This record gives sequence, structure tokens and C-alpha cells, in this order.
Amino acid sequence: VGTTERDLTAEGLTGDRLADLYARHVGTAVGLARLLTGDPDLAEDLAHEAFLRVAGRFGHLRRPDAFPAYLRRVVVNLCNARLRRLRLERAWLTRPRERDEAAPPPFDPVERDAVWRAIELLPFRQRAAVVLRYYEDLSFEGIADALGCSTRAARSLLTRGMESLRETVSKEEP
Amino acid sequence: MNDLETLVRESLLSQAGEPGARTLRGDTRRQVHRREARFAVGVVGVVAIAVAVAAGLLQILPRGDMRTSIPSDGGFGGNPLEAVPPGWPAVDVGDPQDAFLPPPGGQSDQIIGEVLVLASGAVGGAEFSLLAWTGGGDVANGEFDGPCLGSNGPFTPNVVPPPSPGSDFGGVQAGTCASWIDRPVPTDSDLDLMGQADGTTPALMSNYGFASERVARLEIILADGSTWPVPLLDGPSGWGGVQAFLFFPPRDAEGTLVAYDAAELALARAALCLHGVPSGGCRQPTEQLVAAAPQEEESGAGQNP
Repeated sequence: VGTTERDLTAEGLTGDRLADLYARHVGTAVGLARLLTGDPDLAEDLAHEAFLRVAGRFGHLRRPDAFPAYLRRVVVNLCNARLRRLRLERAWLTRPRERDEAAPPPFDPVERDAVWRAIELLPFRQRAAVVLRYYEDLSFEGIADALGCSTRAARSLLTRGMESLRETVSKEEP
Repeated sequence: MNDLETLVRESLLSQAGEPGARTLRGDTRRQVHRREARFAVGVVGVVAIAVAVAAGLLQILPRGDMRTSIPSDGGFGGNPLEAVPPGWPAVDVGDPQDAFLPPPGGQSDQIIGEVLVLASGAVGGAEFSLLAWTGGGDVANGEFDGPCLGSNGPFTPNVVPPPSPGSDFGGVQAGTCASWIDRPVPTDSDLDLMGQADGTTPALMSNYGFASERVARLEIILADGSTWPVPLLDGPSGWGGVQAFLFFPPRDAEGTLVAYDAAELALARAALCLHGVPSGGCRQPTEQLVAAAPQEEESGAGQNP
């Protein structure tokens, strides 16, 4: 039986407790980060960084038993910040180039099916809403909590994301 | 679940790969502890900044127990005399140059130094001036001696003919000195409370007087238990540190004026002067709560019992 987050709050994060927390949550965080960034190596780093941030203030969390939710929110924020920075860097690097020269993709996923390609084209928050709903199996409330928005906004993001996916996929079908 | 949702779910699971159990990277524990320390330092820093900001605000905000001293030679903008308890007549302190001064030759020639205008303005629409000077006469002969105050002015907006500011007393003229009582300030008492009324302004009465140098603050305790600070006014240099005060309670404001020292020890108290007579003055007996401060020529030992 693994140590629960509530048990961890009593004595803090020491020894095997930290390792147990890491083992149970970082794998899922890596998967989430990979889906949000499309970059496996970057996902590993972001998930680790997110774990450090949440664990570093574990003793001060208002709801330590909600460690996975805190971790998920930090992962989403880190991925969003990283992609925003990549877009800025890319925009700066491609500025002198010819307009008709396509910018290189930010990452190089190994295999992309039509749906995945369509997901990659979504705006970040719509993409995050789709990932949180169909990978993390979160409710609208959970999506809203992870994205730091209202439940209504989360529902709207997911609806628009799915509409875009449906449209994109239908265009690619022969 | 429709086909698209199924496709999305399968695609995401495929792309995410198997989560699997992760093991701690080599330096994770150290990194976590470093983050904990950094976070703790950040919290302490934020708290320290908040405390510093709060302390700064407390410094600049007015406090009820703060001693208020007005320079006798000016600085009447936002005068603390204008802060009065709710329901009391509004006080508007004006330019000392417009004060009602003694007419030429109308004041004793035993004055040492100049006559200072401690406050001049209007209260409840009636004008007033509070003058301060140092007497050098023989008190046994009824002459000015030591700290003296004059409560001057028409004390009513209905005086006919209107007085001439800067040249005439106008209506009520009253002067008194700290030495003219059995227990003068500061040798025998820390507080001396007087009042002056004019029958034409029955709604209010001036309350003014002396406070010894060791009085750090004055407070009115009204009959309903509420309290209100009374500003202390610096007297002329010849007063030897004796201070003055002035306020205008409404006719029915019963209460007590209490003098405290810097250690918040109650030194003396006196009942407020009320408008009990159609016109005239009042001088309340002071209840000295501790021994008056010995003067320099005496032993100088033990100011408080």
C-alpha cells in the first residue's frame, strides 16, 4: 500500500515518502506534458520541474491531499509558458527569412496520425482542455481548475477544440 | 461516446506512452530541499515587506493617542483643533494675523516678550482668538505673572457693530494667568481648566487652560464613556514648558478632561466648563491625582510617588 498524500503531510517529505510521491505521480505528469508539448524529452524535464515546484512547497499547500491536482496545474502552466517562449523565439529567428518559407515545427513527434496532427494544431488552451478531458479523464470542474478558468470557460474550450478537430479530420479524410 | 472522442482518446494514449513508475533522479531530494528553503525565504520576505508597509502606514496615519502640538507661530493648515467630537460645534482655524488683539494701551505693561496668537478662527460661526503671553508683574497686586492666556473675540456673529480683527477685542474679553489660583501650574498642579461664555452664544462655551510640561496628552472623557483627544499648544518661551489647550464643547456636553504623562499615568483631571450662566467665566477645581512635579530650585527628587 502506497503512502497517501495525507500521510505525507504529517511528517513532511522525507526519505522514501518523497520517492513514493515521485513514483506515483510523475509518470502521469510526463504523459500530460508530452501531449501538451509533443516533445518527449522536454516533457520529462517539465514534469520533473513541476514536481520540484510542488514538492518544494508541500508543507505550505492548503490541501496537501490534492497533490496530483497541484502538480497537473503546474505542468499545464509550465507547458504553456514553454510553448509561448518557443513561439517567441521562433518568431524572432524567422523574422529575416522570406515570408513563404515555412517555419520549422517546434518539435518532431515520431508518429502522427490525423487526429494527433489535428490536436497539435489546436490553440494551447483548447488542446489542454482536450488532453485533460480525454487523457486525464477530468470533469469540467477539474479542467477549469487545471487551466485556472471558470467551468463555463472550460466547457467552451473543450467544445471549440472538438469542433476544430472534427473539421480538420473531416478535411483530411479522402 | 462518439467516434471522434474514441479516436482522440486512443490517439492521446498512444502519443503519451506508458506512464510507468518513475524513480527519483539523483539530486531530486537536494533540489526539493533547496526549493523548500527558497520558498520559506520567500514567505519570510513577503511577511517582512508586509510588516514594513504596515508599520509605515501606522507612522503616517493619525493616531488618537498621539500628542499634538501646534507651533505658536503658524502652521495652521489642517489644524488639529478642527478635529472635534461628533455633534460638537465645527471649528475653523484661520490666519493668526486676523486674531483679535488687545487694543493699544489696553493691556498691562508687565508683559515679558510678545503676545502670541495660539489660535484664531471661528467656532459655530462665532469668531474667537486665544492669546498667550508671559506676565512679569506682582501677582499679590493682581498683576500678570507667569503664563497667561486671553480668550478674546466677539464670540458671536451677531455683535453690532462688528469688531475689527487685528485691532480690537470685540465682545468677550477674558484673561487669566496660571499663578492666579491656589494651586498654580506647574508648581502645584498639572492642569488648570477655565471657560468663557457670552450670553449671545448660548450654544457653546470656550474651554481653555494650562497643562504642565510633563503632560504628554489630554483626553476628554464624555459622559457616555467616549473619549476624544485635545491638542496641546506650545506656549511662549517664557512659559518654561507650560502648555495650553482650547476646545469648545456644546452646552450640554458633560465630561472630564484628564491629563496624562508620557507613561500614560493620569496626572490630573477637571470637569468641563458648561454653559451654566448667561454670561461669564468658569474655573474648575483641578483634582490632582499625583504629586505635582517639583521645580528646579527644589530638591528635584521623585516626580511621581
